[in-house]
Amino acid sequence: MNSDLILLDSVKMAIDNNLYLDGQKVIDASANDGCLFLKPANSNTFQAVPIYQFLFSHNFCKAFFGTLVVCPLCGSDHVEIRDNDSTELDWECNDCKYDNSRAGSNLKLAYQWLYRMREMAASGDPISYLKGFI
Amino acid sequence: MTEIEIITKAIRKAEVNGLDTRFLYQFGEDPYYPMEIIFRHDFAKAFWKKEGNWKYHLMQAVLKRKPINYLKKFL
Repeated sequence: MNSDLILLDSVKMAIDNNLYLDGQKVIDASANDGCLFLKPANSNTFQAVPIYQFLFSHNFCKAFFGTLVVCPLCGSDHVEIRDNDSTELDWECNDCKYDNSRAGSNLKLAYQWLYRMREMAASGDPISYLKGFI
Repeated sequence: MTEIEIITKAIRKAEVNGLDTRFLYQFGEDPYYPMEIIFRHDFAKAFWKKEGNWKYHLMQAVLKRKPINYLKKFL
C-alpha cells in the first residue's frame, strides 16, 4: 500500500466522521505524489494542504482517531469507570490492569485523539502510523 | 515574532546543533511549512539538543494548537 493510498484512505475515514477545515466541512479528498488536496463544502475546487500541518491538526485527529477516553498509560479504550463519592474519577484499564484508585494516584484518562496524536509525532513516520488504523 | 521568523530562527539553531538542512530543498521557492519541519525527528533532536529529552518536547509541542509557539521559548 503506497503512502498516497494510506493518506487518502485515512482522510476519507476522517471525512466520514465529520472532518472540518477552516470551519468548513470537508466533502472530498485526493492524494497524488505526496500531496494532499481537500474539497470543502463551500468550494468547487480542491485545495492543496501541507500534509503534516493537516495530520497534526486537532480537527483531523479528532475525526480520525475519535474522541473516546482511553487509558493514558497504554492507550486502550477498554476502561472501566466506577461510581464513587469523590469528584475524582475511579477507573481501571482492562488491558494493562492499571487501577487508578488502587494506585492512589489522580492520573486522568486521556482523549484517544490526543493520545494517538502524540504517538504519531513520536513515531517519526505519521503516514505509516496511520496505516495501523485503516 | 511572526511564524516565519520563529521557524527561520529555529532552523538556524538546529543547524548550529548539527541538523542537515538539505531536506529544505524540497520546499523550493515556497515558504517553509512549519509543521513539516517541526515534526521531523532529526529537526527535534537538533533543536532541543541542549535542553535534552527532545521527545518530551515534541510531545508537548504536538498538544498545542499552534506548536510553533512552543518553539519560541527555546530560541
